[in-house]
Amino acid sequence: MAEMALRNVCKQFDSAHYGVKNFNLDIHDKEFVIFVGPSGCGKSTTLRLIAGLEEITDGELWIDGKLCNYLEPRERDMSMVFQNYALYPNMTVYENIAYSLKIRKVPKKEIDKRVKEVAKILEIEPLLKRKPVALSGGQKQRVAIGAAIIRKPKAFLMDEPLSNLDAKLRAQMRVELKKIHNQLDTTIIYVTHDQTEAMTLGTKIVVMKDGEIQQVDTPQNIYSNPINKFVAGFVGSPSMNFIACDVEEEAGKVVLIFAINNAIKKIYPNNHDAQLIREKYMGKRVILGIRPEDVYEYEEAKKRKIDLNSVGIEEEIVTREMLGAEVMLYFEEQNRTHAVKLGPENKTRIGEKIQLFFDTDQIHIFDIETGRNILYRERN
Amino acid sequence: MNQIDSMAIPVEGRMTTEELFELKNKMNTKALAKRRSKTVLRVVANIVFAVVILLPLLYAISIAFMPSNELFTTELNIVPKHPTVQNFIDALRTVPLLRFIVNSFIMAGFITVGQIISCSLAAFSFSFLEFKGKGILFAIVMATMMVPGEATIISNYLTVANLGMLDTYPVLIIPYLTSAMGIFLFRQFYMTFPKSLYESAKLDGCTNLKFIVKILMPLTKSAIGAMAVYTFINAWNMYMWPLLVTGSNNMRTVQIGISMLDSIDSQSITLMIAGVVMIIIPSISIFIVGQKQLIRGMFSGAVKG
Repeated sequence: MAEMALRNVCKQFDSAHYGVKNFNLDIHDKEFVIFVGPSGCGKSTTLRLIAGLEEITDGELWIDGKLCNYLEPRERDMSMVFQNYALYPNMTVYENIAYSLKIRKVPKKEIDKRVKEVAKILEIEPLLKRKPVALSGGQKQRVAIGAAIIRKPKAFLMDEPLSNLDAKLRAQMRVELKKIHNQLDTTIIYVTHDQTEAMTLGTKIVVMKDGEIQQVDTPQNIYSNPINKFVAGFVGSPSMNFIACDVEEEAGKVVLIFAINNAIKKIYPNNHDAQLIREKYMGKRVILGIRPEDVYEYEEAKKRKIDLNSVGIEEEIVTREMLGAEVMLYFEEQNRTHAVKLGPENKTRIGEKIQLFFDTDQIHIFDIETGRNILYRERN
Repeated sequence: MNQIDSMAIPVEGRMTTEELFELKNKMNTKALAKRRSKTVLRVVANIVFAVVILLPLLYAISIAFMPSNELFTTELNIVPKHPTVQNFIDALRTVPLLRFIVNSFIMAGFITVGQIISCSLAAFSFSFLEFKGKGILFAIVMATMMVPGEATIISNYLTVANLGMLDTYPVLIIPYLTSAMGIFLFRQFYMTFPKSLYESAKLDGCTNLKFIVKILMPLTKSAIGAMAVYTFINAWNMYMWPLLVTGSNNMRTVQIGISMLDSIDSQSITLMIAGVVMIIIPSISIFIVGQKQLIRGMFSGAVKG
């Protein structure tokens, strides 16, 4: 049960190289916090700073009102699940789970009771007498989680715990982790590069890049209201389509124009967005972002009462992927491939052209230099 | 047509069942004969090489059982005609060989245990701990491997002589309680050890020492075994240093004892060889016991296991 606060936490590897830079975050009790970002963004380092496995070079780490910068890992009362499980190969599953209690000299009876409890939660009772070698990846993962939760620590730290599992098992363990979080009612800090895990598990997502926090928010807000182009592109699969365009005025209305091969394509943003764009970006170049699922073909767009004024969004399909419940179509624009997610009834073949309509309520406009989302809605 | 029919071999249909059976038999016999002859060849070649390599050793054992008059003839006596154990009895009578063997065991045993403890602790800090000057310190340790033992032997002798330690067990043992080679061997081994196990143990509440004793050592048994065999045999075979610092029969080690069997006045080859055969028994038996560990230790970490 922990309230954690990180204040300007830095990890400096050498004079010019930061692993983590000015990290500010409040973690409340019972939150499921996800650190997500591309590899090398400092998410694991941050976790290790919290665990005490790396030394904080600058800033403060507060746990339950106590400054913990120089506390030994074993004094911080955290437990960690590692990517490669880190089970002791010379001990049985039972001993592995019991080990942290044994070190803390908990009475044998109590240990036995708690190991059985944990084994029941994780459904590993039949495995208790085995050695880690005789376990499958998924089982090892459960044991590792068991060894972590038995101690009832202030917080669990998980460093990409599912990335060594195959896709099916990963999906299954994801559901179970969520269940465990509810059952244990405790704080979990979880590191992943997999945005599906981030979106499904987290109550709070921290998107990182180059050692710095980009955005901290709920999964829904991260998805629908990204603060900048990086967050927008990182979250969501396939990722958001970005198209550079010019902001112009046409009969008193703001219009986004992008010209390709002499064909001019126009998009009219809604009034609220137009207001924001008009303020600073009239006559300038911006980047338009739209998620693949916010693009529709004519019939569907009409049904959804989407603004059909957009002119000439006709694209030639270069790749088509049938995924069963949906069809992914890809078209090229400005030397980049863009994706569109349509219903399975769409029969467009490669090489054919299709009329596409952007849901203008769902577009994002980014500053071309800073990448800032012009339409970002501050909360409160 | 079912699956099996469609998988028929290509010649089927053109032959009767008997013909097919015969053909199969013929093919099988030929292939088997080829395989067997290859195995036989390989075994023979191995035996030949083994004999060539082991010949000196086997001949030494044979000589040890020979009366000396059989050795000094112009005939080629490979096997003793009248085997005798007199040589062994004489060797034990000429010098206190048993005492020397005990001395050697004490010396080699303490050196082995000492090296395992000191080298594993040093290697632990060089591979798991982070501290300033770690790289330089390790380079210095490695550099000591380049200094030949002979270069330091005189100054070492003067030091221990001034300390008044000559002709005691400590003087045989203490200078060899650690070795750069051992530190290097253990460090290489620990480098392949998943660091997350150490980190996990730390979070579980282990101190460094507890981690070494409870987790690291049980998991690096094969490295310890390899190191133990290597160190023990090296210590057992030490000659120069024991010769220099021991003076009495109470402290001498076997290697010196053997040289004592050789005297200019009454040189007896059979006697000396009997002594040699006796003292290689411990090192060979240790090697046999530890060879699995030795090989596993030397090659561990080569591939992901």
